[in-house]
Amino acid sequence: MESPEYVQTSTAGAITLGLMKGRFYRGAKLRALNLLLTYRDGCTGGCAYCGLSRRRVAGDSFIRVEWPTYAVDEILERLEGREVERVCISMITHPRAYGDTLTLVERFSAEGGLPVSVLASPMLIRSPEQLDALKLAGADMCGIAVDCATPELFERLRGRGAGSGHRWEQYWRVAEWAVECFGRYNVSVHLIVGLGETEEEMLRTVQRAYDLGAEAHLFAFYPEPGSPMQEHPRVSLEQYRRVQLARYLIHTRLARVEQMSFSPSGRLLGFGVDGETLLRVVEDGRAFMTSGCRGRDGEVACNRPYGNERPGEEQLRNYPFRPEREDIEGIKRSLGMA
Amino acid sequence: MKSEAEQVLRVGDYEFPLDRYYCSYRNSHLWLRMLDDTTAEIGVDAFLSETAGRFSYLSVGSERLERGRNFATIESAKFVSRLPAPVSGEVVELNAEVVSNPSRINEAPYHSWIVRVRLSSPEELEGEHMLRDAERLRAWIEREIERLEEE
Repeated sequence: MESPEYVQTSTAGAITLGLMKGRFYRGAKLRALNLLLTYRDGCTGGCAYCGLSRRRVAGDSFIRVEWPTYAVDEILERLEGREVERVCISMITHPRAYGDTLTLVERFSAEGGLPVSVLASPMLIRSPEQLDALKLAGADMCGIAVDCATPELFERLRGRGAGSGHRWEQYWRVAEWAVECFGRYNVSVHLIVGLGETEEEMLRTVQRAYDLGAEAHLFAFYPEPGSPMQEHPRVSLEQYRRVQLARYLIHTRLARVEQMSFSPSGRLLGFGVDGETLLRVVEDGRAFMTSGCRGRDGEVACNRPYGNERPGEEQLRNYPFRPEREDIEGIKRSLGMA
Repeated sequence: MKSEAEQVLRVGDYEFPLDRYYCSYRNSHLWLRMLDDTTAEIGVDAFLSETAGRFSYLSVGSERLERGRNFATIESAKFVSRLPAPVSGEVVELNAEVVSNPSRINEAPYHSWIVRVRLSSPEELEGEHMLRDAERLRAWIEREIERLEEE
């Protein structure tokens, strides 16, 4: 059961397609179907935090949940009539992944009738023409999972330090090519908060991505059992909230990272906007919603319900819907504003 | 004629043995089965266990139950239910097997009790949210199926 005939989908995707029993807490709805290429010999990457890493010794979760494998034909059949706004096809680092992604983009674009994103694996993208081909096949958005906020972390967790072939410079080169190909802000850079970076380092990278023409989409680190980073602590709610809020200010051009202030240890102290603006943004709630590729309606489609936390936790890291009054009160407490 | 223990109500895809009570308070979907005059075991019904997804986490927080107050939390990958006590009483036994393997509830909801409780106010069994009558139970589950379809 390998791609391109088969793909893995997230638990949320499988529930939404009726392939797995389950429901979503607080009536959340999955708006984008995430699909992952699958091969018997798996991903060649050895990223220290990743559930797909070849260095993982136990467990089969990815981003906290299981990803069952289904035939593409069955997924396409079940997509019809579902309230899904987008499909995202994620490459893994495997010699066949680029060609199979092209095939799948064509199929989901033509037969699925939905906008298609590609999460590209930069080590498989050797020229801008490869991105042009993905666009020609039907993809309208492209993501690059840089994940780490600094070159040092990248090198340690997914480059030479991890015995892996990923290279920081290549990831950013492909992000630049992707902006050229797909257009400004039709490209995203995925960043995982809590891998060991400071808030300042993370936000300088968010600004770098934004200036390049890419949105920064945030994930909160959640340790995968059996991975080299299984004992690494999760990012605190307080840190994640500050980074989320600052990212939103950068994306809405209310502030730039240079206007923000940081402690000597890199903790965010000032957001670079006046108190009234800050309060308005916090109470609006959108800053704390999942960041991801947009749907046809211009709203975030890739909302990944409960992807970064258990649904029963006191506060959600990424809200898959607009936070309600009680949520906002909790968010304000995390930000020291209540 | 079938004995009470053998009678099962089927509503849609879900089964409800009629030898026990079902608690509709806050749509908690708990069942309660009397073991003797004052002791009961409490578990999750087939509707919740079949719709929530595979349970991965169960925590029981209290040794004393107070009717209507949450006494446990059960979670699947994408769903959580905070369970309000259907009756008041003292927990006399916790099902450690089910707490450490909550997916047992998905496999056999009516054999996977969570707690055994000594009831302090047995008259609570007569409360409006404690359903035993097949028709009232059917009506509630049908409403629940409708509610789920609208979600």
